[in-house]
Amino acid sequence: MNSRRIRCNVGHVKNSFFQLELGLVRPDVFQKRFLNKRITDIVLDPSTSIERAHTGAVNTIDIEEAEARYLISGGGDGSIHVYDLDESEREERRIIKSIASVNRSDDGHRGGVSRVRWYPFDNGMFTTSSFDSTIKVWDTNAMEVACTFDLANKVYSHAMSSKATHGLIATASADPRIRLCDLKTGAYTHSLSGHRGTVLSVEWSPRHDYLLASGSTDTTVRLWDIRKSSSCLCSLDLHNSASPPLAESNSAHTRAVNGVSFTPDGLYLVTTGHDDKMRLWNLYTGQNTLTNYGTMIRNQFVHNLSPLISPLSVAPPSSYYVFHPSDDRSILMFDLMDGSLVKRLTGSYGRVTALAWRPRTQEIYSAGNDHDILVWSPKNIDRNNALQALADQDTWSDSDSD
Amino acid sequence: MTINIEERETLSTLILTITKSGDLYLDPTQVKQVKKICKKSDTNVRIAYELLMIQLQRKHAQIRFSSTQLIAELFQRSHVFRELLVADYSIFLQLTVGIHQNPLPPPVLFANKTKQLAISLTNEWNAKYGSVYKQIALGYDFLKYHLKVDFTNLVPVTDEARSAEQRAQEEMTRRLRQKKYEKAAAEMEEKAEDIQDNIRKMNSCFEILVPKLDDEAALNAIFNVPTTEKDISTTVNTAETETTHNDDDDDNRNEDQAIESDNDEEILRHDPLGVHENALGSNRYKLTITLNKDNPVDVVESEDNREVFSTLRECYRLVVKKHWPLVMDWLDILMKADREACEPKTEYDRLLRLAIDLKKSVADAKSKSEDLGVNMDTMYGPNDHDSDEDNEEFEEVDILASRNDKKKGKQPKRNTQPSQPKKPRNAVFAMQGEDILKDDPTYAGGTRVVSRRQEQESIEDSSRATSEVSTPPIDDADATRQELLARAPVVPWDDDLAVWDKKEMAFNTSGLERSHRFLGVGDGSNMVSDATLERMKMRTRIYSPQLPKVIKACRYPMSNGRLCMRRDLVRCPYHGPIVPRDEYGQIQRLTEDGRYVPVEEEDKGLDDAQEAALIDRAIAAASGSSSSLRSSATRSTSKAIIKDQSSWEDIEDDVHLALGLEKIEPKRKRGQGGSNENKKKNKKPASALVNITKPPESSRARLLRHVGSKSSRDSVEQDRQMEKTSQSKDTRLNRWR
Repeated sequence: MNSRRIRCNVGHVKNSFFQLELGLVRPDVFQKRFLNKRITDIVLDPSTSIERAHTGAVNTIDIEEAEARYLISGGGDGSIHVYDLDESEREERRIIKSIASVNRSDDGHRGGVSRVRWYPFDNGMFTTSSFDSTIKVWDTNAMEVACTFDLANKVYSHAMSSKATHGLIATASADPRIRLCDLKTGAYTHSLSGHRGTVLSVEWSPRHDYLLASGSTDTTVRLWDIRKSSSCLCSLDLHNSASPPLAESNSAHTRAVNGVSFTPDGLYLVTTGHDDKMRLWNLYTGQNTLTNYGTMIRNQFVHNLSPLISPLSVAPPSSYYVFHPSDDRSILMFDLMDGSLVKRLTGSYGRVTALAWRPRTQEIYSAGNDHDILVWSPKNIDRNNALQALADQDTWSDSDSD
Repeated sequence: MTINIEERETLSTLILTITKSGDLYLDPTQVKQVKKICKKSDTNVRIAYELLMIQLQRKHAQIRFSSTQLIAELFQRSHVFRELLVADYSIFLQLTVGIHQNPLPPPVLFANKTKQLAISLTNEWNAKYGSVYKQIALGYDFLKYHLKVDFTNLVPVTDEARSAEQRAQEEMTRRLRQKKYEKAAAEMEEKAEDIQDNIRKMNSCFEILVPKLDDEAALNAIFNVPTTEKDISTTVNTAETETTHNDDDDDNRNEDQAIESDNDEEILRHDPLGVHENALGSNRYKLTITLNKDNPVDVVESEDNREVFSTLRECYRLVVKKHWPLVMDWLDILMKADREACEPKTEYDRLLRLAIDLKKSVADAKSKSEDLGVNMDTMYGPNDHDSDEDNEEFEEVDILASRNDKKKGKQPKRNTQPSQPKKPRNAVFAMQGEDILKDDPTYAGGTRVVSRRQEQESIEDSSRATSEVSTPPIDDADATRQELLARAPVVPWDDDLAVWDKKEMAFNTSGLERSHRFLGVGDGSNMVSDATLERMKMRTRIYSPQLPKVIKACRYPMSNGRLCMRRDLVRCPYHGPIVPRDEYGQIQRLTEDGRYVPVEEEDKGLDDAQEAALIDRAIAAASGSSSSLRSSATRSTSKAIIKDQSSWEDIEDDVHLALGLEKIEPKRKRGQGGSNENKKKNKKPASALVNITKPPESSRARLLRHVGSKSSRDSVEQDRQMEKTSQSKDTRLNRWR
């Protein structure tokens, strides 16, 4: 049955190649189709595994954008590990080992790492935030701390703009104010006040240099323009009521908001909260699109949990897939626009805490609180080794038929 | 992808019955049916998977255990089932191992079994499919790192793992044998020469010591010179008319000086010994030669051949202590070693032949030297020589006697009655340490006093015996007596025989009036009363029931492949009535001509019994108490009734029946109709599932039941009443007017 499906896939691909040769499909359409196919075929990669380096939960992971080669992970035990994802890529069965690490005993974090992020333009630097109320900037080559910001509060997340050149780190901490750290000076520039509770997530817009979104335990999601003195642009309202944009009654979720993500084109914002709901906001109007993602989502833990939006827009035009880690140890894959559940990825034995996307190979990396980092990759259609054949065959004994 | 409704129905009922049976082992026929249906189409496999997952989520460990077993069966076989289960593997582990804070439901015993089974399954599946199904590998890792499960000493549960283990073991033994073989081969190459040398040495010793047949001088020395010892005793019997052969060929096989007598022509022709001259070779005589067992070769160690003997002893010791076991070991190893595996084969054959040759020659040399009187006992010279030397140095003294002499001057005569070790003299009041006392010379021992009557009896017996032989009875009175004696019952002697024919019996015939201290003077009749006489004629007889000598084993084929070894009189509590079975435990039927033939599969009388037995066992294993669900009485056939009753009471009845005792009627409670109770008893438990809704019995509940029962309350009430009355009595007693 499975083999039939594989054959079917191959036939389909061959057919599209033929169509491409004949000029019946445009190359970009073909590419989108092919990528779409790959994304929907994503499963747990049986041949690749990442070495179990953390002794505690893995809280956060990130893959750098420059080369899409290095993965960084931060653990609940305060340790940080760097992996080379291209390591032994040609091998049949590979185990990716940590190439560099910092432990708590070194000059690393005293508390659990809450978020790690690569510097968007260069993999020579990364930043980490921790529950020990600091944000550290690291030199990757030396694995040394280059700069430390002490925020005096538990830091849940931080963000750097992948577009802007201002070099500001926005921080989300137990302090209701969002403080901005300047990498150029190593000092704080200013604070954005407006939230009334712990800020659990911040994210820079990929479209506008100075646009920042943040979610907090006070159930609001706020958009900020950091240049303005009264910097809060609006507080998103779930009911799309006619109230003023900064009204006290506005709330994006009925309970705490712990995840915000922009779509890669910066036109939409996805938020998720402890009310087990994910919402899609149109940033042009600031309105709730009222997309219904169903009732499968479980999200009850107070930590930063960002939904992952596949960075490539696949056919039909400007349609994305969004991956949401659910507390029931699965990853839910939704169609961003119509909210339909495409796939449910199961296999993790721990709660999935963070997701990372590797664009080059269309792979997803997931971190779990069972100390493991899992690799999810498109099903390899030409994988036809003996082991697979063994697993594919039925072994009914003859005596069973009579 | 069409769903066959009928198949689906059967599948669901089958899975329900299998999982709800609550047995430790699944019913193989039902499992086979499930597999049969699942084999037909993948849709059926999917249905089975859904049903099994539903069953697995039941909050009852027995159901989960059975479901896990069935899942293991299907997982091994169906690819679709594997895909489905692997996708939900974490849920599977949640429900069977209890990961992610999902404790397994009661009963605890089955919960542990389920857990163990799931861990073993994960281990084996990981070994086989771990590289393809990542979820299983992850589950294995999770169990290993988070639950700290020890995967090292697991019992293989799937057939494949079991056979793999077996194969590995075989391979190991084979390799071990091969290694042993190689070692032995090298050793043989090394030592064969030594052994052969030793044997050659021994052979030359034999040649020196024992004269050969062709050595005329030696033979003449034997036959012409009369030997002083009577080692060779010749008996000459008058011969029959025909020529006789000395047919005992064995006697003259190895012995060099044994006379090989052939038919007379040959003797006449080759007569080197001059047998004729000695008047022995005549065909009229039969010559029997008896060899001395102790020294068949008739070679005595003397000053002349001492050196040779000592060499021989040395060699002999070497042979017995070293070479013989060595050669036997080699042979053993060579026999066990696989000929096919040994390279090259010619080498193996050569070694084997060498070993056999060596064994033969070593055995020969050993027996020859033993014939010469060289063995491990005479390692340092002949025995008699040894004792002579001892006598020179030490005087043999009776230590006991000398000690007693010193003490008393003379030794009292011991009671020299022949002891009977099997029968102690007084079994009931045996003196402690009597055995030790017997050794004490001062102890006279329990002498047996032979009573006069017994003596007389014995004399009479002997006389009767002689009279029976010599003079048969002739007169009339004796004839009637004989006749009566023939009819008379023979009973062992007891007190009643003294009075058995007495109509009346007098006591105190002295004529003196005796006055009893308490009873005073008698009524003067001095006759034993009839009642007493009657009582005196009674005899005590201890009833010893005749139990059957051989109690047959049940021999019911059990699921572990063995046969049930319980021995019961009539029926086994687990497997029902004991019937003749063959070596595989199949029931056999007695045919007309007295042979046993196996019973056909059709009249399966024990199918239900087997089920009931399994159920009983499962209950016993699960809780130790018989708190089973007796909810649904779906099956109440006559068979079911019979085997439900095959309980303790039945076995008791069997035993009573066999002993010829009456059946014990169970006490019925008042106010409860017998029919009602019967009905209740006849209900068959639908499954062996343990009722988990029932709270576990606590000691408090048990005590409450006792204390709160009506009878105990009544008795308490009674006691109180009695106390009250006695108190009031006391008060009245002590009241003075």
